[in-house]
Amino acid sequence: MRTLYIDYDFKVYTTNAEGRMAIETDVFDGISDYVVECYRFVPSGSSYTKPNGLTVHGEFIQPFVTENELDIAQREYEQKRISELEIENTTLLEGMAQSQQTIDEYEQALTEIETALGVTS
Amino acid sequence: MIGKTNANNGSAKAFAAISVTYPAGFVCTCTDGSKTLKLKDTSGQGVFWIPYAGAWTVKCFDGADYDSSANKKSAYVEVTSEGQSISITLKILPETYQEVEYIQTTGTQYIDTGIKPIDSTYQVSTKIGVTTTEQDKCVFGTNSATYYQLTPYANKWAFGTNNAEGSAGTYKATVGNEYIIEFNNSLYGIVINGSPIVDGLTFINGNNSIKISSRNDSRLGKFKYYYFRIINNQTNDILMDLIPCYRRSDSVAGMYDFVSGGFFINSGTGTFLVGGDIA
Repeated sequence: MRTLYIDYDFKVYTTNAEGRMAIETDVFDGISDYVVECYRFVPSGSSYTKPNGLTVHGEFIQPFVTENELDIAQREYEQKRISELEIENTTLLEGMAQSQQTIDEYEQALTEIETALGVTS
Repeated sequence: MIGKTNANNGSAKAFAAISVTYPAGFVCTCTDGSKTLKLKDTSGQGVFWIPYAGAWTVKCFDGADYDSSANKKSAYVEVTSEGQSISITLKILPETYQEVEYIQTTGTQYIDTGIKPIDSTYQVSTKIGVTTTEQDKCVFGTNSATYYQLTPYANKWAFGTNNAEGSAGTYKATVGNEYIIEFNNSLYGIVINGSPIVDGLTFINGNNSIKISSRNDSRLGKFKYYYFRIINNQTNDILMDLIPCYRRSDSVAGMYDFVSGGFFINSGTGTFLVGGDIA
């Protein structure tokens, strides 16, 4: 279940702003914010008249962009996520390498102390 | 073999042929933007003899011209090679419905077709679009003691039949991917995008009806559906021919059956997402 926002034209937004109304729905669960904002969501009890004169009645959910644009939006989102994950991965690997270096330094220092104290295993 | 034409495209040598089935009484034309062909009668069937390669659009309509007609339908056809023969069917919904590109399920919706696959002759043909990276969600199916279902699972197509569950082929859960599916094809069992993935298996379930985007109310799917047909794989009779649409009076989305004239709506919860309106 997500809280989303619609404007006077029933276009969906993931963030609130003046003139937008909050809605609760699970229909967009698992769908990227990029794609969610390509939809028009007419809530139950409301109506929307399309530019061609056809009036639709809620609950009615339809993209206001073409399917191709929708796919492009989703792919851009996925590409962005891949880039973000690659950066996260690089950061983690660097962190692990740093940790390994710290461990190596610690073990070396420990060995030196043991040698100085004449400790044998 | 290209021969006599029934379209008024003159005496030029034909390059390819487009056979068209359309509603009787409608005008039917074919154009590439610069040249327009028109069938001589409104019988509901005809052939366009195409003079050269290119992107052609076949249109049928019931008014003076396409743009002003209340009832109309068009289809793009890519003519690429000499001697090519293409068949298309243009179907028009009753005015009480608005056709859309697809309906989309999001994990709570499904359609009960009411048709029970009581023997091995029930073939499903459908086109779906991937909407999520999630798997283990049914494209369609039914089950009780036996299985009749198709489900992406672990990057393969999982299926089941009497004591013979299995998986085969490759499923890529990339959003936007499309799959054209023939399930229970009499020759190949399952065919995905034109390629057989299993051989010789037959699927039967006599107890429950086939459900779209579900398997007997469980494992509800998350797909786009562009059409859904149930066919007798021995006689090729179409038992159900569903296309996505919504009812103009109340905007309820579902699928209209050209065979029975019935309108099949959501048997689950929530609302179908719908694709763009088709003029």
